[in-house]
Amino acid sequence: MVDPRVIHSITIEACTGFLLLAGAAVVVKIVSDWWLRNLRGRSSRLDRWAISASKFAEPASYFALIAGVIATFVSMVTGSLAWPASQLVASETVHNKILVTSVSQTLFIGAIVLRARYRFEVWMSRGTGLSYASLVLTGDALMTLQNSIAGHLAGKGSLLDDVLHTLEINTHPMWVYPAWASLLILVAFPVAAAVVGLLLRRGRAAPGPGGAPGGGESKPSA
Amino acid sequence: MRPALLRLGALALAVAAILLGVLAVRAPAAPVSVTVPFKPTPVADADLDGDPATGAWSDALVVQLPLENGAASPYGSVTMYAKQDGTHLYLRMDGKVDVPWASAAGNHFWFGVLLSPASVTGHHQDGQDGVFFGDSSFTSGPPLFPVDTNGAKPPLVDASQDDLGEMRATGASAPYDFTAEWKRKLDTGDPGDVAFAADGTTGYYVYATTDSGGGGSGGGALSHNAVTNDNVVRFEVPRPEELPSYSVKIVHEAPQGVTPGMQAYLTAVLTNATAAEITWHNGTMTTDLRAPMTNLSEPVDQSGQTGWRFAAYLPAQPAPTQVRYAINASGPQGFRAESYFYTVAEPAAAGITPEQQETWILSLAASMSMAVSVVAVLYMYTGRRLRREGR
Repeated sequence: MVDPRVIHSITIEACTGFLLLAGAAVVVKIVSDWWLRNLRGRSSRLDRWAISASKFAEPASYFALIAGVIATFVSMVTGSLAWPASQLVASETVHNKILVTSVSQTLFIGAIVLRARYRFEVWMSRGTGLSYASLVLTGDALMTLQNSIAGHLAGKGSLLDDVLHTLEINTHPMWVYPAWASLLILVAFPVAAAVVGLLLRRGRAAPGPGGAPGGGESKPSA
Repeated sequence: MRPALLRLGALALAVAAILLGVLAVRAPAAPVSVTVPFKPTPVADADLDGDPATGAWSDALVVQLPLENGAASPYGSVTMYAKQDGTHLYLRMDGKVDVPWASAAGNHFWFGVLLSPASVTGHHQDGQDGVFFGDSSFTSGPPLFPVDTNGAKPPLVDASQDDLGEMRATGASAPYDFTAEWKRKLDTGDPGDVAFAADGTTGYYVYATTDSGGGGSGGGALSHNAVTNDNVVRFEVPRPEELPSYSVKIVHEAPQGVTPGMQAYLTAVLTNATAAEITWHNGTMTTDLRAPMTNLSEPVDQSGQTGWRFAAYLPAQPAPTQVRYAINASGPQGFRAESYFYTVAEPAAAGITPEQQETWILSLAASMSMAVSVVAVLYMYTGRRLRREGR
């Protein structure tokens, strides 16, 4: 029988690969859109590359994002099978990994929802494109951290160890907020989100400057 | 030259430069593969005290063992002394570290060793066994006794403590010297420990490291986990004929799970003995105390001979320590003394307490709430923005 840890390694490779591809594709999309908005016409070769990259990077990032999120769920299952439950429950480092993975997975799922709802148009405005990209790239940053924690769990260390050491990030003790801070965040963030939602709704009801919508937002050239 | 070839050459040069840089930054020390020799002369329990000047180590194997901290000299390796007498394994590690062991709250470091069966490589693996000296997660202050753990991450303290010894650090400035000395049975009988077969062929992995700047340590810059050295040890086949023979036999298992305030009840089956006593001392006493053993008049068959069960109480210890004791048995045909130890420790915490678990669940919920709120705001913002632009 195949060692469950081998299967877990494969699923980890899959989700990491897909999600990094999603992040890389988003970066390519941002860079190529920036070129087309600001430097178009300076180099016809780079213009052609930017158009091609912009065209292919967007669907690639969406596909990789969906595949990565699915693979992450699979790796959660294989991970729980690969390690004794007693060790998982008793390890503070495992708790850190679960916490970081949950947050990154939420951000990735949020990005998928955003992309599924607004489709390619999410890239048609600079602000919304950056919002979408920030979700994916923050998720990638957290995924990098969670993989570093996983390296510690596997006893193999991490290439980021020196960086984490410099930043005084210790993956061993359990990362927790004080109880009062957790309760405050639990209440304050949803309330703040609701308030922002109401303000946005009110802004939609009121006419824009000069009675026209848009507020001066630049439009993409591609 | 064609531009494509130039680009390829530049790329190859860049890759070579990166590889060279990576290799030059940290040249790993070579792992060792050694056989621990059988030596009939044991290291006395009293000499397993972290003092490199004492103890019968002259006949031990001596080898430079690379550490998992991957540090540069003099912090990246220790001198390992090892020997076994067919029953016990004796180990001593002399090394250097960048901070003294001042206090659990101040500057301190830890030294740890993971032992693996042949089928398990790497750190913190299932089925691994560990021993840690000076980790403030386990030890509040000197004397720095060995703590028997398993291979979990972070290691969990074994319910059965099977290592006897001590670590001491000396010196006035960095690099500080440290010596860790300890013994354990080749086969402790504890399923949580790795049982070593002294057959000359079976290999076991040994991973040793120090840490002065991470969990359980503080004040230094050494991080314990930078490289993986698959050091292999084997154990020479014992030659029992070289061991001294006695007519008096002692069969005894040291007690486990002794906590502060608990009296220790010891029993032993003695053959060809008519009287026995125990001499003992704890980690801070400088002289031995004596306790008589009582014959319980219970005969026990010992491979065709009749042994008799003897018992004694050792007094409760007020604080965590290691109690070293010897059973001295005598009879008409001679005399025999055997040394043992047990660890007095607070009950090991089983990983994470329910209070910590609750705090973590609250933190998880708060983090998720934060992430979902951010996603919701971005969702609403995106909708509003695209509508304003008439898309």
